[in-house]
Amino acid sequence: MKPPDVPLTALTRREFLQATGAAAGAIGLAAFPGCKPEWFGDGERVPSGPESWYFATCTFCPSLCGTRVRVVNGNAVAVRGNPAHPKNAGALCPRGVAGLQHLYDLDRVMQPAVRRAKDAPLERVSWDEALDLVARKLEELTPALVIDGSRGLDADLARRFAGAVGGHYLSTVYTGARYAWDYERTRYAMFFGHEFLEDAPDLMDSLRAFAQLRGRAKLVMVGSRFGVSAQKADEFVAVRPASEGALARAIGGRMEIDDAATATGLPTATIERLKREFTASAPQVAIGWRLLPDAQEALLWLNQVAGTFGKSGGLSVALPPPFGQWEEQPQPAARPLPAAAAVLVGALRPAHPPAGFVVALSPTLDDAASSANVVLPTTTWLEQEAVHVPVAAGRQVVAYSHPAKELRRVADARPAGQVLIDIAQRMKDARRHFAWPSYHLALRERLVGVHDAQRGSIKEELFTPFMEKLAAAGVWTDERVTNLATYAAEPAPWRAPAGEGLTLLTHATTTLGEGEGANLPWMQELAGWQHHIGWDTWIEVHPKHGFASGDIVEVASARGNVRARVVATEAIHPEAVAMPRGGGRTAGRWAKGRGADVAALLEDPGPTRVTLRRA
Amino acid sequence: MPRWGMTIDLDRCSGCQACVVACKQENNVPFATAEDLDAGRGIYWMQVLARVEGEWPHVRMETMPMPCLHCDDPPCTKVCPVDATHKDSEGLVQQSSARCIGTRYCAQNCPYTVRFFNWKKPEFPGAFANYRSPEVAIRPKGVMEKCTLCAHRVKDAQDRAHREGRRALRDGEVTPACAEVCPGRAITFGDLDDPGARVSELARSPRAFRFLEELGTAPKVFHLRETRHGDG
Amino acid sequence: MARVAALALALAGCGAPADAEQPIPFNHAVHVVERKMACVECHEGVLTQAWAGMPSTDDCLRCHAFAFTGNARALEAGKKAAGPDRDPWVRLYAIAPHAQVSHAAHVKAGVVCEKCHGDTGKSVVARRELMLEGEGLMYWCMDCHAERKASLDCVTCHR
Repeated sequence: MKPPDVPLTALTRREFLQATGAAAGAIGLAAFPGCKPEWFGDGERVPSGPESWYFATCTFCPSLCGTRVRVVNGNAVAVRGNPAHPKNAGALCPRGVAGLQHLYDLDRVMQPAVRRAKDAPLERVSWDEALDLVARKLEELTPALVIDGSRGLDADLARRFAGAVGGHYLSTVYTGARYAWDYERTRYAMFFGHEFLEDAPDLMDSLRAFAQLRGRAKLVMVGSRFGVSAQKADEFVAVRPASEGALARAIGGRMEIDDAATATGLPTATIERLKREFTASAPQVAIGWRLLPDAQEALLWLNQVAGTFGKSGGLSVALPPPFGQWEEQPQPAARPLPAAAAVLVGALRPAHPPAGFVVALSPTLDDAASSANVVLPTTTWLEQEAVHVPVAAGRQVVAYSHPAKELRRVADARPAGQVLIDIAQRMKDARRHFAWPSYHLALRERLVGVHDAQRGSIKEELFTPFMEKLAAAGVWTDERVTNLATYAAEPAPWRAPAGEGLTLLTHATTTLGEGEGANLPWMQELAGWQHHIGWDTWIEVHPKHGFASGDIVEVASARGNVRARVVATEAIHPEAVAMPRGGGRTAGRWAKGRGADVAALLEDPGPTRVTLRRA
Repeated sequence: MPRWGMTIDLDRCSGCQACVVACKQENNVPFATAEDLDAGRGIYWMQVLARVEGEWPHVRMETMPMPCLHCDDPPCTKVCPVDATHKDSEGLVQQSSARCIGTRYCAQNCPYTVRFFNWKKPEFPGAFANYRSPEVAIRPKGVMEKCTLCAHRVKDAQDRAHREGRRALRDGEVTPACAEVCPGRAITFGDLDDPGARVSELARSPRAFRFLEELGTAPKVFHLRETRHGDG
Repeated sequence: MARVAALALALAGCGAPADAEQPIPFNHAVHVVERKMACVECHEGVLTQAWAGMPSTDDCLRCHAFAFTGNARALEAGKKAAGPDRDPWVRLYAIAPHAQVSHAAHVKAGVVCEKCHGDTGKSVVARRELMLEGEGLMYWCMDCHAERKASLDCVTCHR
């Protein structure tokens, strides 16, 4: 059984084709510049082998989608959605898929590091040395400020830590009232200045709701930028920038139609029609996001008037799951106190950079960690046992993540909650609030409560089989619906926002998010896909201002200025400009110096007015 | 013998890019650097095209996910001098990187510009090498590559069905990576010759159209055009 | 298809050596011929997976801990060298990276191991007894595929 003889065994086929040029189509390989034999190789293949899958909860945004991670030969090689998860039902957004580039981030902190002097480089130390140092410093420099970018149990422990050290607690992630939108039954949805397909408090809900509602309900987008959300809505209502609050009031009957027409630039007939449609199409919902506080209040009130709270097809609020309570919760200081030390828990880039002695708990050397005095490596969401509470309409959900034992460790990292326990246990006073020997046991105490409730999708008499089933499913759910009695005060009469100049609209992107995706190359390259822009921050400007696409402009507000690449487009109100958030990081090899950080411009509460100058 | 095809419902697509990233990850397509993008050399087996028309406030935008359309009469295969690309027995237009000598004639002849050339060796720097998928070979520099409709998944599923003693796959049993992650469930894959398959139902919908139909390429990837509330 | 075959001049050769000194002097003949062990007992993927799988040193210890201790030193050495969860073996079989051959699919189709791996199972020192190698390999594969009416689509193997 010998292989048949074949000609040209000494040459590869390509060498043959190239050398002779005789084969019918091997025309002039030499004519292609740079086309040399070393171009060609066989490529590569990663060896296959035994695979395993495990559940993890993506913590890049408040959606907290359930993922399944595939492990082959010790490496995570795919992140997919968990089909049994009520939040995402097997789907994922691009950031979730790109979790792999977070896990294997080239800027992972491999072991604890300490900066001995002000401008000295970070120096690797042992966990014991680092933890001892942090505990000593935090006892000396009280009270410490805790800035927290984590979610789930880590966030609970960070808050507890702040209480234990008598400090103030500040979360940098969205932790507002967790409204769940019962979108499967909605008939009319109005989005006010809300790029619901790019930037949403709950992006997965928003993406799925849109697809389910298309054709079944009417989707109306009110805004000053014609982006993907406007395109995909059934109707786009173009209003003057920062006038959404006026339209909400008019629809709710709190403002004269004529006045609203002046404020928004809409014909009165349009406002009358929208009012009629909205009122007649129960169950309906009005959703705004990152609007001026005044407009946000008006929307809350509009929903109340329409009766969209606690009703099917409207908004509800999830009750907390039946977690076991930890004993005696120490409360953080109510107001920020002058702090000489700060503990940053996964806070990518705090709005107010802390002064003094800074400890960063972070999986990667990001903006916050790279300037800290001590960096303690924490695990990413892909390698951590965790409990999360995603909000899904009409359901109580507890998601349990548990990495497969086959997954090879990337760094000498610990869960953030574990690090906080480790620090607290080295401190005289804080110790008593962190009596658990490990993070795992703190987590277990929470889940014991879910087991004891004896309801929902997993009911087992004993705790161990309950945990086994929970680990196998990744998620516990209960049909318990939650009704909300909310009260929103009638909004004050509308007043046109002050200021002159172009109004700056900002939006997150599905890729960069609020910066979570900034050090993930896949997210950078796709950030401005609709404009064929990647790795940069752009500004959408109406052509009447005389800028051409590709121009670099300096964008200045009363607070600061940044540079951005112009996209001259008809898809923006002439009185507005729009920029994406999440760029302009100061650390991370893929993120550093890419684009601009729009946060530097934003005024609180806004609106932010800017001027443009050719740079 | 199945004839694989796909439908993409523009009513359900939000342009979120999940399909693009899942495809890159599944098929070991390296990320594009800023320099790659500037040179127009990013590789996207799946991409979302976008176009804006009109004047404010009467603006229209079109977005369209665009994998290889797997034409029934593919213009690309006809010009390959070495038969590195061909339509296989199940209708998929496949590209064999090992045969390709990099003339790029196929890319020239593809009206949909969904064929990509490896201008450089695919790079997975540092620990990024860990996440490479074992299912798909990493192509060398100097060859073409394109969407396979996740043919490796189809083949794996067929092998599995065969082991279980089944001759054919069930509808929905195999899903390309793009369809698997899509939040809007816009993408459906299946056998166009099976009249009961979801994909052939959708392909028969009055909303279904084939991109640049007039060219006669007969794509097996159908798009479903957008509707507005109250239409039909 | 004829055109494809006519151009099937070559398939790049294997990167793996024909034989190599293994960290553990494994004797196939003792296991397969004398003890009548089936290949799948150590190569656990062959029935269900694309990959065959190599036994870890822990797999060896399942039997050797009580059945046979003569080569304990070698086993220890191997264990030390590789750790319990990795396989210490030097691979002798590899095909070009652009091709993938599913063991499970071939076994299910009734292709016996010897068809491709020859007398490896009878060898005292494992060496590649490859029936298919380097240039011309693809002819060999395709002849068999044609004979058995298996798919001749490129993507069947090249993916």
